[in-house]
Amino acid sequence: MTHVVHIVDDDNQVLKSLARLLSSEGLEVVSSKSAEEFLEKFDSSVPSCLILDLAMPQVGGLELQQLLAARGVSLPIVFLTGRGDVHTSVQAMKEGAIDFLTKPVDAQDLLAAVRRGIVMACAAHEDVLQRARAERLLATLTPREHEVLPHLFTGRLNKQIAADLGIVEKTMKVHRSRILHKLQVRSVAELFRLAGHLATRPPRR
Amino acid sequence: MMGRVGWVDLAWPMIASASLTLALIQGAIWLRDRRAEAKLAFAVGAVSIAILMLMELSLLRAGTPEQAAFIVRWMHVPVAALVLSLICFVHVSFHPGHAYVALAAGGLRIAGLVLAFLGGANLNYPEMERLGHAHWWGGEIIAYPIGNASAWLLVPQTSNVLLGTYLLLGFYGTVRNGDATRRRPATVVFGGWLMFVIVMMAFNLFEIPFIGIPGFAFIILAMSYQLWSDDLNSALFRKELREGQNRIASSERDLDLAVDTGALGSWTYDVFDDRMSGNPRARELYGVGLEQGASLAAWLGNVHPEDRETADRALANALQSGRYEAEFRVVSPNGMARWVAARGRVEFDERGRAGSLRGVSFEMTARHDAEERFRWLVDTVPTPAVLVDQQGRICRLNAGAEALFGYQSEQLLGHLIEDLVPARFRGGHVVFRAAFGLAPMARPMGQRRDLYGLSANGSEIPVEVRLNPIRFDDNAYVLVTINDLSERKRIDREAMLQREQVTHLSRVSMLGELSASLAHELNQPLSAILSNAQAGQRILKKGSAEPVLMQSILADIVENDRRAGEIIRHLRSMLRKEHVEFCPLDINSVVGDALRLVRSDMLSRDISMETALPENLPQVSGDRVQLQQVLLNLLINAFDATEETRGPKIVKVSTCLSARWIIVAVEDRGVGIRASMLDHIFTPFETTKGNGLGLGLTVCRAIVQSHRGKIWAESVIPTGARFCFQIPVWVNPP
Repeated sequence: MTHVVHIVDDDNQVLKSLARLLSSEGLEVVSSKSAEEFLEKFDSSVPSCLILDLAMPQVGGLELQQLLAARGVSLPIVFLTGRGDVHTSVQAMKEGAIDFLTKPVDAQDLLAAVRRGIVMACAAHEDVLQRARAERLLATLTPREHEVLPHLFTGRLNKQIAADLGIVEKTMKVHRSRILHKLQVRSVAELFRLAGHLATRPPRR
Repeated sequence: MMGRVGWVDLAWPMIASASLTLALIQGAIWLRDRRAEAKLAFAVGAVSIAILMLMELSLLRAGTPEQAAFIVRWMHVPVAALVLSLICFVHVSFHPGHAYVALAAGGLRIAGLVLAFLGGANLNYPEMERLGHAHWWGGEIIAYPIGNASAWLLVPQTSNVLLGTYLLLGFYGTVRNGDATRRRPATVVFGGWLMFVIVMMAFNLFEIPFIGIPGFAFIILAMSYQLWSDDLNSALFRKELREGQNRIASSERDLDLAVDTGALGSWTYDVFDDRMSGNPRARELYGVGLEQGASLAAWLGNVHPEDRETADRALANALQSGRYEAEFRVVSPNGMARWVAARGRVEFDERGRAGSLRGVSFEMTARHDAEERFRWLVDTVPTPAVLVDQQGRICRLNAGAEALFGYQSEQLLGHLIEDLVPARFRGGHVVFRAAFGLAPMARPMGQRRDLYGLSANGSEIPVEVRLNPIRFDDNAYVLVTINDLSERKRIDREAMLQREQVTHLSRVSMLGELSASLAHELNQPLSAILSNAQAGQRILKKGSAEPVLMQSILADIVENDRRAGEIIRHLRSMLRKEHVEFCPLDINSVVGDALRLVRSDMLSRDISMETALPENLPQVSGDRVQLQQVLLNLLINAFDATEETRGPKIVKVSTCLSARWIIVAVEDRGVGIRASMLDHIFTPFETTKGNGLGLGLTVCRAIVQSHRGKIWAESVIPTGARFCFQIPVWVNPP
């Protein structure tokens, strides 16, 4: 899927050079000189990876990280800094950064981190999409079908489920095929997978 | 023969007694006033004439030739006396010169006198043959000698000729050179005497029977006339004299008063009589009692043996020049010596001879002691000192000055003080000295200038000079004390070097504190360079290289390299121990440089910066590096203070113009400074920082002061501090 890499650094030259480097790898790049500019340009619907300079005036790198977390935005961040401060790097990592790199940064290291980030972003995005689909599909079920659905997860025979529900087996079979059809799954195994998407929630802080 | 008394018997004695009377009168005058030698000569001459007249009388009444011869012989005695007294008289009265002529005449006359008694009957006639008799009117019969003239007569005759010549010469000289007042008496006297000489010669040649001798009377009259007119004048003068004397008496009374109150001894010395007279104080000063006599020797008897010569010489000079000035010691009986100074004036008589010396003496022991003390004072001044008089001449140097300038005292005495000043300052020094002389005041010299002295070997010595005007003996002097500054200048130079070192070290230490941030600053361009280069490599590898893109990449690399170079260069300039260099600066650009250096530090500490830097501020004159140092120091201090506080993490930097000052302020909202410490913080080694030296602000103050500015601290409400420094606006010299 399409993805984008955001670069945020107050130093124009650094910004330019990083953008060039990433572009040369065919990555889509969006440059921002400040945290505010980034927030304006950020589109949560596109899987994004963020390369973030630590020392910036007004809103610094760490502050932005905290800001995003508070908003519930899950965004892989690669920190880039001229200072090799142990304390800061630990803190950044604890807050969920992918990597903490020091300037001048080697292209290999940076690209590797960015790729990891993109993969993560895409995966996360994928999860989101799947979940939305699942919810959308679920919404198409009738109330009676909602009642039947959980019984399908038990793995019991149609006969047995019909007996539990007090309906005929045939009716049961009809429900089962309709649910599977609506949910666009071919087997109960797939149904489980669908349910799995629903169960996966982004962790909350 | 002698029965009847004829008129001759009366006339001759009458003339003789007249002469005698005149002689006595003049003699008496001379006795009173020994200086009138002419009167003595006249007296002797007059007496001689009296004797001659009597002798002539007896000759005229001679009975026998032998008698006549005897008388004639003896007559030579008074004649000789007369001639000599004439010579003396003329010489003393008129000073005609040609003394040798007179001497010859006198000498011959004396020779003739001797001869008269040696050979023959007498000088005139070798043999008196007989007596002749002549008849004068009135029935008088007189005798006269008849005989052949002797050859020896030539001696007295020659004497007469010489005498006549002397008189003529003298007459001629006096009439030609003398003034009108002398001409008349000269004519009378010389004329009369000449007549006498001629008559005398005629008497010897032509055997005129002694009628010539009354001619002597003419001489007497001639002399008397001169002396009589003197006496007449003196009568006139006596009247004026009396009036003058009255005036003198009153002024003398005033003088006595002055003298007595001034403890002056006044005295008068009559040179001719060798007689000293003085007031009691004078006697006291010289240690001369009333009984000790009045001679000069008596008065100067107590003069210290070492000073005798000086005193005598002073007196001799006075009699020549008219002014008497002497200083000598007088020793009292108990051995105490005291210094006496004497001043006086000689009065010369009309003939230019010293008549009397009048003066005053006073004790100057105190003053002499004062002089001694004065000399001692100059000599013992601990610093080199030179005593200079009103004309700028050196009167005295002490040992210190001799050593400092490398001269002996004698070499410089009397020289102008400018000889000790380097040539290029001499002109100005003369002017200065004149100005100082108008308003002398004890003070150091040349407060704004470096002063130099010139030593004997031509080298210049940096000095510090103090001028002390002194009045002594009514003269103005200046005591110049001099301090050699060479050592001090050396120490000052060393101190300045050390100051420079401290400033440099402080700066280096500060930059050390900033090193992490500075490294970060460098990292930015380095990072950009790396990323650009690697991007370029990848693009090339992919084969999608476009020249334009590559150009752009390379351009950026160069740009970033320059940027890094700039940072390094800036750092270097701050770290290098440059010598201070003042030039016109824009203060805002200096602030900008300093901010650039601390930017990273600021960011890492999470402090935000506010600036208020108005444009178009006038320039200041300063050293860029040092002013940055001050700003860095203030900024780091502000950051440190802000870090420790919970207040807003903000630091403000502002510049502004106020009158003729540019003011720079760095303000923080940190912990602030205790009011009592506001001045103290600029003191060395005062620090609240754990790892500081406490020198930063001291160095800042030194820097600001060397820029002719001021630095201070203020408290900010509610908490915080504001450090300000001001520097004068640079004024372009016309």
